[in-house]
Amino acid sequence: MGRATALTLAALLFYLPANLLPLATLPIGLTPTRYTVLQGVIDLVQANLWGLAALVFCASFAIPFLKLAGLGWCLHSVWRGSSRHLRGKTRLFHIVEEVGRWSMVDPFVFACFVPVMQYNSLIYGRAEPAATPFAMVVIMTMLATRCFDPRLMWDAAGCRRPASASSPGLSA
Amino acid sequence: MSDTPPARTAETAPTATARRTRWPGLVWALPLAALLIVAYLGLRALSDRGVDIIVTFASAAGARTGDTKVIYQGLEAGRVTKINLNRDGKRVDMTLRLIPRARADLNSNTKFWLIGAKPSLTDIDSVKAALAGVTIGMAPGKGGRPQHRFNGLDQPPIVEPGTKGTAYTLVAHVLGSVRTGSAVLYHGQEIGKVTSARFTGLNAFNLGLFIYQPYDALVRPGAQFWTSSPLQVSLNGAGFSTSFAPADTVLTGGVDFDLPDSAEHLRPSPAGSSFVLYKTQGDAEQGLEGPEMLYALYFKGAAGDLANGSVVKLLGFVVGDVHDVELRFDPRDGQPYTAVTAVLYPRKLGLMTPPPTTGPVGDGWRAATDARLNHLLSIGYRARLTQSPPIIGGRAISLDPIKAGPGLLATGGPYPVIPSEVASSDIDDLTSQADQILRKVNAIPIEAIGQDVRGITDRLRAITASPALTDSLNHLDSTLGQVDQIMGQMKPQIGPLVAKLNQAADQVNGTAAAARGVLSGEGAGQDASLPGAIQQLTEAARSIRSLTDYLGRHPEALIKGKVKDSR
Repeated sequence: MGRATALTLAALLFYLPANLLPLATLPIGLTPTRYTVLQGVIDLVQANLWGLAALVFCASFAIPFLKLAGLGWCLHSVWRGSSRHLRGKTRLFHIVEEVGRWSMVDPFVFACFVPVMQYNSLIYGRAEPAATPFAMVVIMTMLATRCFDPRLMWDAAGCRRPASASSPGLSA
Repeated sequence: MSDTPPARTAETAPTATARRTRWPGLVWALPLAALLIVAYLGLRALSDRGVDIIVTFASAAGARTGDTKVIYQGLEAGRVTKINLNRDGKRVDMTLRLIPRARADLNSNTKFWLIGAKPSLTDIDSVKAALAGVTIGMAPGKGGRPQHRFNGLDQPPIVEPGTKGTAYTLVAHVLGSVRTGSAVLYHGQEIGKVTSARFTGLNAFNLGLFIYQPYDALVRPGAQFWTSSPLQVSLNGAGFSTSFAPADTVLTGGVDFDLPDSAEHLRPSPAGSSFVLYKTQGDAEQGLEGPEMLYALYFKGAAGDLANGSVVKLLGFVVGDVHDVELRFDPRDGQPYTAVTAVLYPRKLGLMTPPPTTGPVGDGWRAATDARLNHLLSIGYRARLTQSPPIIGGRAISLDPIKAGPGLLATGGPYPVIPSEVASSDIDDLTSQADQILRKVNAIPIEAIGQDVRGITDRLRAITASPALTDSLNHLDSTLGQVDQIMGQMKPQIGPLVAKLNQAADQVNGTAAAARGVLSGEGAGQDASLPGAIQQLTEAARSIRSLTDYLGRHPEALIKGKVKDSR
């Protein structure tokens, strides 16, 4: 439980630089261009590539964010012993667990293609400082979901209700 | 976390006691490390944030936010972060974020320029930049006051700021192929650049020159500058010779520089000195043209080939240029003629300083030049059209001595008129020469010669037709017949005669051989005494010679006898 919280917290911290710093340099129109995740999405939208934009936005920005938010919600409810939406939270957690590895797509793509995209000084690709935090976010959230046991939410909720009458301090 | 249900029995199971420690567990090191890393990244991003400045350019020229780099000495020194229209709507404000280290170099002398905004073939960098997107060049300034707004140049500066060297000025009538960015060449080595070309008035351009450091010491008073031409063809005694300028000079034009031998001991000219840009090396070598005096010349011949810039020569030296050529018609009889306006340089006519006058300076020059020309005309010089080399060469006006009476400058028009050669005003040089030859051919008395020849042949005919000749021929014929007869009679006697002659010759031969044997002593030793006799004769001759020698030295010995060498 504490492990999951720590990992989630670390992932949250890494999430900031992962989105603020440029993720990669890609040759777009013969010009090596540095992209942050959101900048890439905006450029794709401007190029009218809505599908791709949605894909990148989901895979690189929204899913990590939702994972963090979902995990945070679950953890929060365990700490607080909340009993609301227990069923929904459990389902959410399973989704997070299932979808988690797909966020690894971006680092995977860079790892595969950056070494290949070295033609000359005009056409090349390169991972930028945000790549490591980005990968860390994914890894941390995956580990956090592995460490987290959704039953704890139910336990916490179950403990909380009698705790109002009996001894406190057994939660968490 | 580690609470055990109290329902378990204490006897069967190992007891686990809840232990509350202040140490929250190793796993919490992870978020801590993440925090540290994020803080480090954040701090680095903050410190790398660099310094924001605004540079104003005439156009954005394809610069892109976030992509366009600022290059300093080949290194990336920053990027464009924002591009906006200037407040006046005509220029573009670019916000550049430079690396923090650049902060110290930002002052009023710092220069920014666009690379690749105007690609030119002579600048490979600009071509590359045109493909890969423009970049912004930067050169830090020294000593200016700090500022954060700059005016950017739309083209890279010709001379990289900070290059050591000296700036000079060139004055030119015609720019020709020289333009901003042209190289200055010294014997083919690039020693500088033309940094600016400015129009300063009719027929006048000012060129800024920048000569790099080690070479600026070569620029001394008397230095010669002339427009280098991409291809030089010269015709001289050794035949045609051609030379090509360096390839980049062909594209950009160039200025050639040379230092005459006479200037080698002079001190380098100070920065900003002004020199004249001549059209050719020949002009440059002939030196400063000085003041210009305009004269008119009228030619009745084909002078239309004369172009602006054709030369006026005196004894082969260029003393002036043709400025204007015009076809005119004589109002009286409608005859076409060519009116040429030429400029003469008094300096090249040997007039170095203007004679003192009371009027403006030009009057002195005018009077002196007129005087010099009047003197030339009075001794028979006239203006002629020439062509050198003949037929294919360029037309020129030459002042040549021809056998003409004394002449004077004609006044009355806007300029004094130099009289031109009347004879050759109808035909050009070559045809006049041909004419001379024809005239000489004409002068040969062919008719008289023909009459003489006819007389001789008449006489010959008279002789051959005379009966005396026939008679003598008959006589000769009979004489020859008699000679033939005699020869026929003599023929049988000739053979024995020749045999006898042969015999006599053989005998003479034998005698000669015998005589040789006797004389050389190599005969069969019939007379061995002959060589001995000759030997004795030789010795006798020798002793006589010694006696005469002795007597020559001691003539008294004839009387006194031989002197005894007692000493």
